[in-house]
Amino acid sequence: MRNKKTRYAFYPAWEYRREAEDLNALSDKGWQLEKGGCFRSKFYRDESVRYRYALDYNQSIDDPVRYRDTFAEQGWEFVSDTFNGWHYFRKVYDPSLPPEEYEIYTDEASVRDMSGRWSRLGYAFGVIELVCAAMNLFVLLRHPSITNIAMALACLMLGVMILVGARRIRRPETAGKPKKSMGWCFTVVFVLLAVGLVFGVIHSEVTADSEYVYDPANEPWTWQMHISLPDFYTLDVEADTDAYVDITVTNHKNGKELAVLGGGWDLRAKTTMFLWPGEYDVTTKYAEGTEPGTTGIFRYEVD
Amino acid sequence: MGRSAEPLTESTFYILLCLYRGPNHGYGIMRQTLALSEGHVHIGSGTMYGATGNMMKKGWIEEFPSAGEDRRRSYRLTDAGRQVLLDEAARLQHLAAAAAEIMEGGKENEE
Repeated sequence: MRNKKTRYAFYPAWEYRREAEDLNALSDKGWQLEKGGCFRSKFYRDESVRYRYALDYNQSIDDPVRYRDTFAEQGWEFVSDTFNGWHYFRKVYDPSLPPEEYEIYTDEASVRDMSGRWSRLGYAFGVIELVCAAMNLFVLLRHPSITNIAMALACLMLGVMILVGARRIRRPETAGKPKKSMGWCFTVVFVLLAVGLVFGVIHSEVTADSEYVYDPANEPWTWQMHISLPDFYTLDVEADTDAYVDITVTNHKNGKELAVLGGGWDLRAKTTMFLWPGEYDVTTKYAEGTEPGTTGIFRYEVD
Repeated sequence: MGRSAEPLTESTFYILLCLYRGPNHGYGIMRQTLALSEGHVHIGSGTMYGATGNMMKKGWIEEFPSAGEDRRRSYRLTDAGRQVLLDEAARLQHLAAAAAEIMEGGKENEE
């Protein structure tokens, strides 16, 4: 049997008591905490002892020696801490002792002090996330894409959750162990971020940027666009021509016209459309009855 | 050095009380509080660290190194802390006396 294991489980700050209870249950099964964390915890095997765990949040300890001594006096052994101010303590479990022996905060005022330390940070962070969401929404309106939708939703959800959490942790009766865990919300946020990242990376591969010098022999000019990812795409075209020109986007397979940009002599147009994976044609078309242009420079961008 | 008008928390009151007769260390304060409150008030380590830290900042208690082999930290009352304790005890006695007057009077009325 293995003697060490790493466990990946996520606990939001306001569910610290739930985390301690899970550590207790693991200790009863012989897995003792070596290093705690809200994403990743390390354990070692020891079936000879049972511990009870307590998590403290204090990011500004003025006297670290006095802090640990105060815990050691009552039998609390320091296990580990995290960079952001969580401290893990454990005490050997003796079933004959009353449950208060395994509490580190024993009155409402001190529970409120501890949760207040976190919730102040939580409120600030939640507001920052909401500002990020608003910024993402602004970008999204100007430039729709699945990545931008995912990012705006992830920021919005994270901001709302952290604000709800910061409120929850302040209620002494639910501090550290609300009735319903919000862990699943974070899973959704991570999925959204992953979708945003993956779509962002793949999308950037179809980005085209080109310059075209008009050549009457090649008329009508067609550029074939390959789309491998369903998303919103913006076609930005600039044409400097001495004839009246339209630019159309058609589905290569069925010839269906999706967008017409145009038309004119000094064309600068932009269109955003949702495209499914497939082949698309971007074609120049001179208006009926007008003289084809003799020269022209096209710049087009697909993003 | 003055204290706020707010009543002390039970933990704060007991910590001050346990230092009234002389210096004590955290564990001693916790045990004595448990005994004085007949098992009702347990001061956990987090509460103890926060309360003693606050009271040191306010100048009600001070820490000093324990003598000899004992490596535990001891605390003692300052004059300001002693006054806070006396004021609070007087306030509580007054409350208890007021309650007694009404409730004992109430009993007489019922009889």
